[in-house]
Amino acid sequence: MADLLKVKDLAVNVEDKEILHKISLTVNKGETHVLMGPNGAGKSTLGNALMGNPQYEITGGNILFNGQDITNDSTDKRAKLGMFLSFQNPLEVPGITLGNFIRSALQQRTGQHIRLWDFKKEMRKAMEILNMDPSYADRDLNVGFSGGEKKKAEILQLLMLKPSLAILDETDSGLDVDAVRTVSKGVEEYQKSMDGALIIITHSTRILESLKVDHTHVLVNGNIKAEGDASLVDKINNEGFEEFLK
Amino acid sequence: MENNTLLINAMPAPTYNWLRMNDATVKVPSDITEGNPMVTRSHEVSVGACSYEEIKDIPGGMGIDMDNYIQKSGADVLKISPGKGQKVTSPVKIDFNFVKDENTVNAVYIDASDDSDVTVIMDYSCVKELSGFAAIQTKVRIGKNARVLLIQIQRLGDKFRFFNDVASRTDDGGSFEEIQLVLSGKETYQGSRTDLYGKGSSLKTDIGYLLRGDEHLDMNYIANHIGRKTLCDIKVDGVLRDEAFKLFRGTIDLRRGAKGAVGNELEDVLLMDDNVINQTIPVILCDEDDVEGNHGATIGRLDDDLLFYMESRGMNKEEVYEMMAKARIDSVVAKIPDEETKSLISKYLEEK
Amino acid sequence: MAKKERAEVNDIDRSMYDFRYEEKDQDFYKIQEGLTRKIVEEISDKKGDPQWMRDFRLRSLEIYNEKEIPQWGPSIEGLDMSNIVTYVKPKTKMTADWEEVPEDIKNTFEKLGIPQAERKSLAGVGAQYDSELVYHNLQKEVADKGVVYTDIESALHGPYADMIKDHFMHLVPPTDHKFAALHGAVWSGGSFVYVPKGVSVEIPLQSYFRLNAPGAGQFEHTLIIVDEGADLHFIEGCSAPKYNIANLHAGCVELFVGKNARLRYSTIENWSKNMYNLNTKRAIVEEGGTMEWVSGSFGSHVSYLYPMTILQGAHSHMDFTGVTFAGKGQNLDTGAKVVHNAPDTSSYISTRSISKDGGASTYRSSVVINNKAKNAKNSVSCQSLMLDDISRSDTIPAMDVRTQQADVGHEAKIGRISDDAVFYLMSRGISEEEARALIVSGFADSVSKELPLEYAVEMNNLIRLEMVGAIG
Repeated sequence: MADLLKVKDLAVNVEDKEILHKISLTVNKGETHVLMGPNGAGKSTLGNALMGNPQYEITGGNILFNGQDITNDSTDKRAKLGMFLSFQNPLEVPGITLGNFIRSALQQRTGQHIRLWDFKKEMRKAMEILNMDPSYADRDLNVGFSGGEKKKAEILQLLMLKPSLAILDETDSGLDVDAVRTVSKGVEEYQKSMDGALIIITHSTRILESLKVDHTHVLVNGNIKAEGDASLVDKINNEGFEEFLK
Repeated sequence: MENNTLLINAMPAPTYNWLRMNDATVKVPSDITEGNPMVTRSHEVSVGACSYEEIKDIPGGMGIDMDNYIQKSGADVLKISPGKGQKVTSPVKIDFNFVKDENTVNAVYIDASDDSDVTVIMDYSCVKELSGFAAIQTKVRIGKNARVLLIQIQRLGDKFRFFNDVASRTDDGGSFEEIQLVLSGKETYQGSRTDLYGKGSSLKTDIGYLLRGDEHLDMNYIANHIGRKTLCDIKVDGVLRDEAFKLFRGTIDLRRGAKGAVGNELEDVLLMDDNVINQTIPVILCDEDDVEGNHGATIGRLDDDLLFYMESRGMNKEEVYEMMAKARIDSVVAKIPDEETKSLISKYLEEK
Repeated sequence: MAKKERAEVNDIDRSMYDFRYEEKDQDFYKIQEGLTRKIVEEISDKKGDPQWMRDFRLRSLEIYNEKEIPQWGPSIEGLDMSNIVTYVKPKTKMTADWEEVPEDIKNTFEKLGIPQAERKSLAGVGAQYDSELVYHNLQKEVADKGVVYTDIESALHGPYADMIKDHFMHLVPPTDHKFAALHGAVWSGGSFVYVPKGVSVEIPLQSYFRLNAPGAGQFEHTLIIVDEGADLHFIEGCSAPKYNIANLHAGCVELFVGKNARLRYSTIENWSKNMYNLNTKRAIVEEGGTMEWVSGSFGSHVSYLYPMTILQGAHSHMDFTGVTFAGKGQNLDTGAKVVHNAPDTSSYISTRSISKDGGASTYRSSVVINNKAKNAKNSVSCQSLMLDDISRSDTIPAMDVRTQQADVGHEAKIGRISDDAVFYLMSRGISEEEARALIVSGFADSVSKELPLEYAVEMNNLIRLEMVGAIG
């Protein structure tokens, strides 16, 4: 099977300080990877660097997506190629409704006009999965949304934009039990019906309960300290990161 | 043709002269006639005329020269006066559609009695390529617990010179809301002054502007907090393209005795092209300790985090900028509670 | 609920600045009051100016006579130039030996802690008494590196004469405003500093200005050139005893920061409350250079003070930290100006102002981003605290942005001490008076922590003394 994402010896600086040191990672089509680690380990840095945030400077290594080197590509190009990042703190954008935003993003990505009727129908379906009130489609993007609503809106975008790889950056943080369940339901839908690959960045394990996990990576101080299958998640769940900090 | 010179839009507290931001000296024509707006209203509210004397005690935002210019023109004052307790359900519309190359002057007076509620929509448009001049002054008196929402849409052509002045004073619990859009105009001078006399009275101002070419916009906004617990919230959202010039002066004056007053002002300016000129001066004057004053301004390009967020959904930088420029204006338009006006604006923006 | 008594915040104890040793008039050479061509010529004669300087003074006088008084800012009606003595020369020569300084003057500076500070933590000290420098000294190790620190008059006649001529009032020309012209005409005293290429002066230099004569003006000129890659911290302090007639300070500071050089300029201004402080400070910064201002304004009856920075070279940077404390009878109009003239330049302005007891403080600024300044960044944050309802606090910031590729952000807040904060501290067992005192000193802390220890101590003298009064 061809690699979907291949990260090789990636080193990343933030404000002239090296945060990630030679990280390597391979994600195949449809696989679910979990990236765990204590606070400050560099998990979000990896997410941002993969998506090409200009504030994160890649100083070494490269990123291949579907065999194509995207290390120097702009963020929008990566998105158009099928990458998606769910933000830890989604930004508020007054004046653009959630619905219009997703529709424009879809049109730009496909270069085709999308009929409003079809779009609305699909959007309603996705919102149902996420227990979202349909009125949110007409509200300004993330403006005045609660923490949980913002995260749902991110997953809604995931379901609508249908990327082949989604990076979820702490999507479960700050959510109550019910909201986590709803969000996982959306992610599950993405796994199943779109055969989507995932990198789930988290420091807890709640979001993983109902998801099938293929690989687990433990990131500590900018290095991958351990790798394993789903059982590693359980181990960390029981024992914490103690062992990897040594 | 004889010309008059007016000193307008002077800041209550001036600053360094070399910045040339303190005020504006402008020429105005003296061969002026009274404009002929079309008024649409329901029978709920009475519309008539009065003399300028009746509104002389409400000082205009552009200053005394403008007041004198309007008064000397001899134009009748169009008076809208909802009675005591009257809630006018459908907006009063005053349409100024300029079709001739002439200089016009108009005055409007909204006299809202106690407990009344009225929305007035003033729409300024002209035939394409018209190089006219108009000066319009709107004065608003707000009675106890009355509410006036004044909406002004400027969608004139880029050869038109336009002076638009607003002034209001509030009684206890009165609230004045203004929504203004400046979408074109060769030269626009705009002033607004609100004297918050009444206890617990408030001002809410939302301004949106979108300028291009070598359009020029000069604004002077003043909120005087005189009564206790008065509130003001001035929000300005703008987009500048090409070689457009804009100057925004905003003064919140928290006067002694205005205990519990809160004044906020915020301007966000998105610069789209490299030859625009943006001047902003958000002033707070404070002569009272039991108050809160905040002001902020962000000027320039889009915030890096926001740009990254939008790009991560597959839009390129130019597309994001276009989308955000539209969003700024849309967010002001969205506050207009009249579908007909909203669609007029969308149509105008699409054609522009 | 009964109205809470507001903790009384006392006026700053000025006794340590107001003392004055009895002087007999014959100890001084004093020029007659007022401002005429004759007076300017007399000052020039007394100082033995080179011809170009004499011409410069007279040209400045002409400009002064033509210029209008600014139409903005606090009133300076109480200032009558025909009553101001522009030149007061103490009967002593400048010396590098502290023992040679006349007893009265020495005692004055000793009371202000100047020589003690020099011994402890300064690389060099200059002390000006009225119109002339009375003491100037530079540590040998620093002098050996080629650092020059002297009075401007000596420099005018020494090996650096050309350098002075090439820089003197080039950054602040007499045409800038009326009081810059006045300065050009009657300037006297002040310091010249030159730090050669690559030299880093590890500990600060300091000039202290004392205006002792009643009804006099002080017009010192400070000219600092920090050459490529060099580094300097310069401190100035000012004080004067209080008189019943107006005194005037119209100094001028010109700072030239070379490529990749750094200059930090710290000021604690504590003129007496009869002083009109109309001071002009300006810096120009070349490529990669950094200009840092730390400014504390406590004294004066009226102040107009807005240090200006011109970011002339790419990647140059400016930081401004200021605190202004306006008490009874004071109208302090302070702030900063910055002009971005080159790409990738950045500037940060952070100020705090406190008004009490009928005092008025104004934060006034201008930020100009020119079209050449691609990728310029500027952020301004100013906060004002009102301690009672008879004081005044205004904020007048102007921004002028002429390129799309800029990030300009401004935020300002005005308010009083938050009742919640007082309540929070009181809930931990602190009295209301102490709580208020803590909050006020915390409010000014962002500035005091930027100062070297000696000056932080002086600032503490100024702020905390009043808090001690409050705790009583």
